Amino acid sequence: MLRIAGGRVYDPAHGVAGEVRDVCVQDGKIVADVPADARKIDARGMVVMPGGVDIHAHIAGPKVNAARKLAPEGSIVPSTFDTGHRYALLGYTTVVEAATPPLAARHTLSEIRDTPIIDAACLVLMGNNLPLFELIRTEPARVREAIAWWLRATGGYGVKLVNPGGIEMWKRDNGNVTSLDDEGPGVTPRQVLETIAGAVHDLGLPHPVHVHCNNLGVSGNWRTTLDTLDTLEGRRAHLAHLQFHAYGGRPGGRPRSRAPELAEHINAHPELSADVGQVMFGPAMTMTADAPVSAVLREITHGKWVNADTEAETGCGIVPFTYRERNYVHALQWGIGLELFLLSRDPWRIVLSTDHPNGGSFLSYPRLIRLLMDREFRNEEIRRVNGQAMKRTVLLDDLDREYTLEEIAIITRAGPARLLGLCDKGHLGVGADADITVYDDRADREAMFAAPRYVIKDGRTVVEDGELRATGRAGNLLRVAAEYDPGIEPTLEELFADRYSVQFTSYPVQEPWLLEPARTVAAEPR
Amino acid sequence: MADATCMGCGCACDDIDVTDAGPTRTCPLGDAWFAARSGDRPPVARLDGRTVSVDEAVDAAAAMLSQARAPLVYGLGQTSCEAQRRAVALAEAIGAVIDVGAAVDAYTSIGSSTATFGEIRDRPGLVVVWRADPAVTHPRLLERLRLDPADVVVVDAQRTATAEAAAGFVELEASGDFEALWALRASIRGDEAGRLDDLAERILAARHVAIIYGAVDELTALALLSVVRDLSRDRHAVTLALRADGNARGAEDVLTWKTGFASAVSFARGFPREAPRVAALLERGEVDAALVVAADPLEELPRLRGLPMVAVDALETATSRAARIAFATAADGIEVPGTVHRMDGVPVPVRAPRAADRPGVEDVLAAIGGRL
Repeated sequence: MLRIAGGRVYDPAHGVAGEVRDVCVQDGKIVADVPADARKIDARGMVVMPGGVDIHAHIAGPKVNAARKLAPEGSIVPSTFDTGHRYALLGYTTVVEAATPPLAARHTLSEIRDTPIIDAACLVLMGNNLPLFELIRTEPARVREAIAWWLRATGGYGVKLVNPGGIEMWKRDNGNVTSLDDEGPGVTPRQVLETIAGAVHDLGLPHPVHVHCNNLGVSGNWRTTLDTLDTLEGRRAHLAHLQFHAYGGRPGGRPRSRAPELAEHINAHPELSADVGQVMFGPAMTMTADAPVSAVLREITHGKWVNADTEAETGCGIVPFTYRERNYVHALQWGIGLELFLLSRDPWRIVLSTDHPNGGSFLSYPRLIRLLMDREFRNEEIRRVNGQAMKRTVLLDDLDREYTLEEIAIITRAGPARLLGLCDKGHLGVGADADITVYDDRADREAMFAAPRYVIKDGRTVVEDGELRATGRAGNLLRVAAEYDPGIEPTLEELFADRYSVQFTSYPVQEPWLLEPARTVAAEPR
Repeated sequence: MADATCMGCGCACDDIDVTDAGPTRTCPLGDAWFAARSGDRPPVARLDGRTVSVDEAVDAAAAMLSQARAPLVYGLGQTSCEAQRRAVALAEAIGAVIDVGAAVDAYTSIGSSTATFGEIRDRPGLVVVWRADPAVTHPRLLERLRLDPADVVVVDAQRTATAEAAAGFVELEASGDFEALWALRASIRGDEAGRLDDLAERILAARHVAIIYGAVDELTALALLSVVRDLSRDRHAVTLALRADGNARGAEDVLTWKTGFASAVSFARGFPREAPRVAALLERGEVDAALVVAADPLEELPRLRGLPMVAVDALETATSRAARIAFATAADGIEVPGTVHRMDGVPVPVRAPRAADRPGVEDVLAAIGGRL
């Protein structure tokens, strides 16, 4: 039992914004009260929030591990051990691994089992899956059953689409798709989006379809992004790393910012959400299922490059990358991210992310928070970076918005938990998971968010006085339970036979040591 | 009859049925792998030549390893990822150097382009087999990749079994790899003519190229990966590195995710640091006890002889006979289920078609860890 006493509490899900109150914990959950002799943390003068929730990061699985082999110094792509501990030291207690190749689910799950403290969920790659393409062509009504089967087979939480159709074209002939109506892959990206988004909607998964749009990084791609959103029309959807999809200009030419237009579109459509994928200056590691993008980056850096094709499902590209303040494109990317944060009116639908480690490490979140909360600091930074790029943004207009602590609590925990449909996370109401972060209230918000005073995970104090107190055991795997008609299995077995090099019976993960301990969230079919 | 996955080489064939008469669909290597783990088994635990209880051997192993100032953990290529995870945890607990024998320097230097079996199978093109003889070392690989002999070119010092089954053969003396590959890069770029011009021509005519290579030295690997990188600009080009041990790839992957390093790691200071390779450590006398897991390295690392040593393996081997303490465990993939990483990186479940009558590798490592 634990009482966190006298802190200023930020619990946006319950409209609590800085009120001084106690937060009580028993048996890993938030409770209304605990007896007077319960252990007490004196949180007077401190800020109390739910544990952080990262809706989009790359922390486990074959592509993350390939990047570790490329960069053994570990600072950008930490080991599983360091990943869990560093997230905890930052006050984050739940992280979504945003791109699991289903065929490699066992690998991803093994890594998650070796990642201490944090709870983790996997989004499963389905946008270039050949059996699904075949079903989309021939029996689109059964795609829903197939998706539910895949989620169970992989221990997954949600559905991820990456450059629908484009990765298949890359593996086929170093190609790609450029528009939603490209017929190269045998189905158009638009068909993939419509069918899979519809299936996810009908299944009633807790998290809507999570989309990495076509044409990532290409000048003028904001039109593809808008076209994608129009295609999804009215259905819930989450856009991954929107910053990388918000460029004006002509393909092959210099990018411009189209962040204001996209922010406006999202503001006007309450069914849509996005994480930003902020670029932070300094070293990064680009890693993506969107392998054709990596081949382009390779020609820019002329440095290390990994490509890894996964049969029937997806690809992978990795290129170490450094974002530089004086570089026009990098500074524009940085500026576009900030524009998206500052121009989005509903913090519940815009989420803080760097697409770790693509735009920068999750360790840079505290600095990003300061950029959002401290206008003077932000303006100093804006003056330091490439001026031509800043002229292409609205940042030189001295946007006066400063995020409040309440808004930070929304974009780093309450909002993503709600978008993920994790009812027990991201808030401090009675019955919620006792995942809690306590910060010293410091004027330097970067220092404040870089070193929480206490972090509580499932009621256990894992960080005390800024230092790790507990190590070892992993958190829960967060899974989804979605029912399907078992009649889909013989159909899938037939579709598998000529497309996979493992037996159909080898494919679904059933091993309890990979799947447990888990928390399962039920889908609510429509 | 029961499903099984063979760990006889890096192919992880998961279509094996085990019947009373033995395994089906196995290759000669697979037959030998199953046979070696059937029939009479050595005593489960041995200490100084005596048969002892598992408990007694575990206590002795824990005492030996915790008293050592510079222990070594070595091997891991023929056990499951689950046991490998346990071995890394044990290495951390005793402050050991752990070396899984992986070769990743070329990969770390420039990266690589790789593909799973199904991708190579389903995107027909040219397949170059570089100084490897999969027909012998991975007998079912060519069938599983459904290679058309007309599309295969073997480069090696002599006509191998794989070359006999391929339409193309290029003879290249054993020491000539780096120069030949550098010349091949030049031919591919059109810079100059070289001795592999015919090969360059065939490669340039293909829309898909896969290079399959064996245990080449790091410089050759670097040259091969450079060729593939060059080729990738105008066509889809990938590599496949052959692995002999059933889960060598898993050992490399597990060590990487748990520590950040793929081949040799020291926990001497409590946190992982890159370590010198085992041969150098043994050469310098910087090891005072060894735990060898699911491997038989005595012949290649003769200095292990004479060191206080614990061996944990399903088989009796030269290494286990030389060890002061030897555990003969239940067999991964026959009596113990788990996961292996096929040599293309795909994780594949291994089954337990037979019930175990003794602890497995993971159990023994866990027991030792529990007694430290």
